[in-house]
Amino acid sequence: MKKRGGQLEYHLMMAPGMIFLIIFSFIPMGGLVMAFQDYVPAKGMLGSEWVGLENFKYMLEIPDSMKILRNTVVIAVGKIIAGTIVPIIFALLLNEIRLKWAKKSIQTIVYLPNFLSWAVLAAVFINVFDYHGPVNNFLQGLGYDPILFLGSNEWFREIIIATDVWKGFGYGAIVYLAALTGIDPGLYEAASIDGANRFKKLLHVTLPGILPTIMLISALNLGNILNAGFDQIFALYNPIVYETADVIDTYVYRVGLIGQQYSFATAIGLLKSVVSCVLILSANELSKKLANMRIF
Amino acid sequence: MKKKIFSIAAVSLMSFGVLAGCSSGSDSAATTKIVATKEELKPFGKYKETVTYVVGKSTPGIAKLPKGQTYEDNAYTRYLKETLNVQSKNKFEAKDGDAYKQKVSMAVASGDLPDIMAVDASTLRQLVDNDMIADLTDIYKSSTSDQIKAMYDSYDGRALDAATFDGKLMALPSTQNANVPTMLWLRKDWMDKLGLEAPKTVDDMEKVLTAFIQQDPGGNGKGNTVGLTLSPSIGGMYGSLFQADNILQTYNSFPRQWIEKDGKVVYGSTTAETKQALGKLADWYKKGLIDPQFAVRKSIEDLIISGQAGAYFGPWWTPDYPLNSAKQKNANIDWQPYIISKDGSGTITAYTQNPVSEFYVVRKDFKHPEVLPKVVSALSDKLRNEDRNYQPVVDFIKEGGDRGAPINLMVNFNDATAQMYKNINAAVNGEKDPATLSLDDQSSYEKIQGYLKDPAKADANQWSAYMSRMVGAKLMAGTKVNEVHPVFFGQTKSMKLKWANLTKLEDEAFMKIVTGQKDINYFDTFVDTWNKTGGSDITKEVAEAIKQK
Repeated sequence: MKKRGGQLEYHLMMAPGMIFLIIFSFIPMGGLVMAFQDYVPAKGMLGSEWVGLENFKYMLEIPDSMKILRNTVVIAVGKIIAGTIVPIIFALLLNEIRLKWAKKSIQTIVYLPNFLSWAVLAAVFINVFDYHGPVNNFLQGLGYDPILFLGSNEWFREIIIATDVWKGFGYGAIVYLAALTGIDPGLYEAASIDGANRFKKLLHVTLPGILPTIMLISALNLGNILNAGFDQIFALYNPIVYETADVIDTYVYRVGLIGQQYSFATAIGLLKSVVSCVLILSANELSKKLANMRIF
Repeated sequence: MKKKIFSIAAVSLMSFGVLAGCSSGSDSAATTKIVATKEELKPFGKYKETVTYVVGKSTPGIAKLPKGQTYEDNAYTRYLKETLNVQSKNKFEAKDGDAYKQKVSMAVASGDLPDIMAVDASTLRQLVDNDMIADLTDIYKSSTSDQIKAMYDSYDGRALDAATFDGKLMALPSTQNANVPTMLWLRKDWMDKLGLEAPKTVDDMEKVLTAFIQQDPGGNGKGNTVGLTLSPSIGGMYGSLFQADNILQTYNSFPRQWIEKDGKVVYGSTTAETKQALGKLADWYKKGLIDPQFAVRKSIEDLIISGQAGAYFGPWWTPDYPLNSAKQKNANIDWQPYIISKDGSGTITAYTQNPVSEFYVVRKDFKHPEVLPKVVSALSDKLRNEDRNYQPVVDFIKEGGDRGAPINLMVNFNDATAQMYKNINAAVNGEKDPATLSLDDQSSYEKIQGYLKDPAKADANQWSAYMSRMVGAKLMAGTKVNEVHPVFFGQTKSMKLKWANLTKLEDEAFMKIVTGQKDINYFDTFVDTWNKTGGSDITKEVAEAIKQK
């Protein structure tokens, strides 16, 4: 009886999270049936006509499907890679700073952009990459012609990735800084005695020390491979760069909400979820094998 | 959870209703008998005994009714009671848009219609096919006031045609009056500074724009002056700001419209004329005459307000927005409207918009179908003119009330803007008593008088009232237009799934061609892809839909 009571407390603590999950994640899953219907809001899910795999078939028919998938993966992978490497390098550099107050204030400053929404940052970046903005002024100073960055299919993805990394690297570095403090100082002393210089210590003590963390974070990120970041792209893109910038989420938004094709948009969303699920499961296997860590 | 139960209940109700609807539809060979007397059938004839009619009431998002009034009992319903002896009851009250549409579809599915309600074009067709609504042909003739008839007639029959099936008038439509021609707005102060003449043709316009960007009359600094601002949609958005339609039309290009060409229905964005017109815009973009950043521009208004831009296309009301803000920022600016035409004659070609927005229908077995035209006549004619000083309604408006009328059918003359100009102008010239102007026009009239007293000292609001009502509307009223009527405004079956993608294709292609990322021959590739990915099927469906009508 006593034992049970103890259990109950934990269950109660978990309850709000579970209720949240059920209301916002499990119940809406019922709406997935729309993917197999010709959904008409007035008729509801029970009254709409069933069309089988029609919506999925159309997905393969439209010429943009591959383009959108490719854009999504390219942007997401770029973000994952750059978003992993940059924070690590930054954390390592910051870790070498001796002055405590400088270290703390730099950490706080680079952490700040993480709290700004893309709606605000987009306005800033639109001005930064303007024809008459600082970047183009700099280029013109060097004798180059100005570039319409946000209207250029050559530059758009790079800008999306770079600005996303800029926004998030301070936040990302925190985890690595925490991992760095967990490394046994004795190892550094031993390395010094063996005659290792700073770079050697970095290579042979620090990096192996935070490797499990790097593996874990990267594995978790794999689930995001189809999330290229809707709010950022939506705030910055335009029809000229649809070719390189249109990703699954922006496409679903335009088709589903603007074009009111609820069924088709649901079908795309469902496909995306299935692929993401497979990726997360394989990431779990991968991290189990490589870092001997399970996510779940 | 409550919502869920409701929706389940609603759905089961509806499936039941479909069956009920069918059964009641089949046995209705007899037409509705009119019970009203000859006197009562007259537009403003008063009933001896109160007639109660049930409506599906559409409401604004936030109810704005003076204290103590409801949608069933307010200044308007009391007016109708006094003049016609009719009283409305609301079967349902729902917000405009989706909420209202849902109530209507449930009513239709269950076969339990209110006596009068508003529906869209596809629901109207469904109701006609299922024989659920009354034929209004005779009633329209007997119970509509002359003024309302004149309003409908000002659309050359296009408004009532949309509601006519097999020669029978099945609904009264709300009308949408003309908002074109849009015109070219230019910085007159810049033109004066550079000694430029008013442009009459597209080539004239090119000269003005070239002078603007090369000589920088606004002192914005080299390369900062923008010639023509342009919306990312480029064209085809009826009566909107920043469209290039005025240029496209000189090529007979009507993008985003279903038009008839050589007896066939075509989508305006795919014609050879549009290819040519886009070529012209691409040429201008290359020369720097069009905003080089229009593709990524988030606020065109900012360019105009900050004084960087020298030209844009906009309708007559654009002095109110965004020029009013520009004038507030810099009192010395002078924007003036011009009409550019192909041959410089001032006569232009322009496409028209859908003349109707929604349709009011009467339930088939309702004993008093004449209530609809009578109420419309009372509200849109008698109350607007003869009874314009009816105190309860004046108070209702003063207290910020909105949409008290049980039937929100909007009908106006197609040339309402030109009429507005004529009325205000007559009042300004002392030919018309300002007190006889509508409330809106009266307030414009006062501002215009303020402007005319001393144009140099007038504030931005007085300036924009004058520029829009007296200059813009005058130019619009005086411009001869060869109208091209698009032949289809609805949605076909395949459009539902494929239209969003086709629109994307279109937006992308237009923009790439104009900005020079793709050369003009890419247009053919675009048309080809457009046709292959659903465009040609949809074109066939549209042709079919027109034939049915």
